[in-house]
Amino acid sequence: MLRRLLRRCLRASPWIYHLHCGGCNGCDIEFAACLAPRFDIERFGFLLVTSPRHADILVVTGPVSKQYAPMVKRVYEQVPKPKVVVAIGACACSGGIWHEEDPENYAIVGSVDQLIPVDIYVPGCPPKPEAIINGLIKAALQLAEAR
Amino acid sequence: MEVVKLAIRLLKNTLHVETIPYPSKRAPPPIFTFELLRYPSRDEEKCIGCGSCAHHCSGKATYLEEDGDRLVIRFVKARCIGCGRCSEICPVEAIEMKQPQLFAYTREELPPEETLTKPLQRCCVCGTPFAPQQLVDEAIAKALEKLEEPLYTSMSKDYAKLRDLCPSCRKKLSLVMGTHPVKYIKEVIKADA
Ligand code: SF4
Ligand code: SF4
Ligand code: SF4
Repeated sequence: MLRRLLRRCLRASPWIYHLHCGGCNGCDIEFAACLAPRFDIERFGFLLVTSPRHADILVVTGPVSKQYAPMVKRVYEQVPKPKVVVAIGACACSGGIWHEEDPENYAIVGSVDQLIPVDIYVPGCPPKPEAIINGLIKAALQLAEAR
Repeated sequence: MEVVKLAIRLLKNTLHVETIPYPSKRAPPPIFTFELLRYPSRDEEKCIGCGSCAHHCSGKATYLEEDGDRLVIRFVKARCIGCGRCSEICPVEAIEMKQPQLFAYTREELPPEETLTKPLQRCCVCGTPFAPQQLVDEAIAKALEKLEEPLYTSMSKDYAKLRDLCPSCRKKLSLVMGTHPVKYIKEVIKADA
């Protein structure tokens, strides 16, 4: 009973923490567009919070720069369980235009899933706000299931 | 009068809803393009394996791999930025930009790497693979397309021999096999006279 209620709460109002780790800001602008009145993800109960300790969903954009890699791990550990990680943009999904195999890129780690487990991928450079909304809704459903 | 107009405008503005109810309604496309975020889909029949798409790919989403006497064209969807350069550059228009069915993927739904394998032509003298068979055929067809007599007959005879030779063997053996291009000049001069 309590568990069911909790699941419902998680699905109805997941809190988001947005982590920018070295992208070109294109994805972040699209994410900001999601929060703005035009697309307004607060309709679905999503709320942007300013601390990872309050968040349920971690939204990551950009290829992780080598200097920032330890911070990504730290922020991921700070998010309380259950948590879902959403990678937004080609960069976060796979390294995108920064991807280099041989020789390896001197400043960029590549995809986020090399550092932390990613649950939802939203490819595109940048993805449209609609795509981001799709990804976030999938994340919310997964969050409710994880509980 | 002005006050009434102002009041009406104010009321309109108040009642106007800017938010698009997304899942039930899509945002109108921007003025400069019709659709954003499209991914290339390769027509395997049409593709001749020239590799232009891989060389021009912005995101290294399409890349080539040589595996013995086969050329493998690989495409990673997650790395593609949907720029459309591959579709623009393809000489046989084998790539079409299509809207994806899914916009967001869970880990299980993430599409696997697409691969397309093309057989490479081996040189009949030294045995090294040098170019995809279909590309060689297409290049010969394109070269002969606009030729007239008497060049057409002599060149098509030469190309039948050259088809199986790699570029370096072509140069080395041009005198032995009688494919040296100097005879074309003689033929043209003879035809003009
Ligand atoms: S995916 Fe494209 S828009 Fe997003 S951060 Fe990377 S380069 Fe910028
Ligand atoms: S659309 Fe652009 S990034 Fe994607 S495969 Fe074609 S050239 Fe590469
Ligand atoms: S450019 Fe066109 S023909 Fe050449 S390898 Fe790519 S898809 Fe095939």
